[in-house]
Amino acid sequence: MYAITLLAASLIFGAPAGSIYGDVRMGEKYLPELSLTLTCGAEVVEGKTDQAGSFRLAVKSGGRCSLGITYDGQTAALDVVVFEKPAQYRLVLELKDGKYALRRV
Amino acid sequence: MQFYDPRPKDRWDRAQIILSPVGGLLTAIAVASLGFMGSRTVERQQNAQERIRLYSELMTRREESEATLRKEMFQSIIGSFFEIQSASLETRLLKMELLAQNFHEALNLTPLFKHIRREIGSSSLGPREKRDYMERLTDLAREVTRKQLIVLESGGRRHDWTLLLSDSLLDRSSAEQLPDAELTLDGVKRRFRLTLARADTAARELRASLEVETPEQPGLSGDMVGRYTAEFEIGFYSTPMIDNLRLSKDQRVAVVLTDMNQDGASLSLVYFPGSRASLREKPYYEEILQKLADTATRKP
Repeated sequence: MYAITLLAASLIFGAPAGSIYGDVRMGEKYLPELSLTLTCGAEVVEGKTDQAGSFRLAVKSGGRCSLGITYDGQTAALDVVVFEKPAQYRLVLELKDGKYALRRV
Repeated sequence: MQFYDPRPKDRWDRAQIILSPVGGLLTAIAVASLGFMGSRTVERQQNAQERIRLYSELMTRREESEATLRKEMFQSIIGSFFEIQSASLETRLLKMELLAQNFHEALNLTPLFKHIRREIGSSSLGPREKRDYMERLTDLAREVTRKQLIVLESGGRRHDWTLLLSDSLLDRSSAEQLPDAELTLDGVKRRFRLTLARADTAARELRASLEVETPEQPGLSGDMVGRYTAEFEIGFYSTPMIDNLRLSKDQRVAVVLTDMNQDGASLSLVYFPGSRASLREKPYYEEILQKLADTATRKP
């Protein structure tokens, strides 16, 4: 479904500028069905991690972006850079002083 | 002279009469079985040794033929780079691709990459063709780095950073320190701190300093504990198997630039055992002796 949506979007709006992919875990446990939001300027792309905790998000604008996740009713965000070529982001969600923080490892 | 025992024979006496020849027979069977089992064990050991010898012989022959082929291929490609009659840029780039794809584990290709980049820059080609050739060269270097990272990461540890390029870093007015990475490999825990002093988005290069701290920990002698810093340039043409820092306990660390644009860069640190480093790198003699001593004292 995602591939069809991406293909349709590519045909209508032109090819995406870049994409990020990777996985999200907490400790050693990968987090499935986690809501993700990639914000690049005015463009907002939403997605979810799959059953293995992996994700892939494509945007048309690229550059400096913000990747947000929603977990346990809280939101954690991380600054990312979207390049022309797909970039891997292995992310760890950590609980610090009652607040969730997202870290690239 | 035989004496007749007038006492009646009890069951023990009868048993002795019957078992005496049987005992001899059993002893003979036991000796024969022992001999048979012994010879079987020796035969099995000999078969195993023979298989190992055959395997190592086949491996050696394969290595020899591969080495000969690679040697001829290497001489042919590298020789053509220094020929006076210069081939077209397309041909030279193709040779570079052959060289990089086949010898990236054994050869420091950075000078050749830079040489080809200079050639592209000074050629009489149009801007679009130049850009295409530059992209092709960069993609090749990144492909080599990607392959090496996979190999090194499988035997070591990796940490990725995102660097957001600030104006102060671009105009060199201040440095950018990235969050520390603490990694443990083969029981050796180290802390790595990467600081970027300069960023060149046009050349896609960074000036970095890496601080490596090895804290006191069980199993490490005093001379292996400490902190030191190394400064170096990071670009797409640096490959981790070749461009790395030698650490104690025959370990290595390398920092690679995986991507970069005007907004930021993606950097990876890979901490790996010396056995995974380039083929041209050899461990120091004291490290070999230390490893041998460790193997000898290790309990099975």
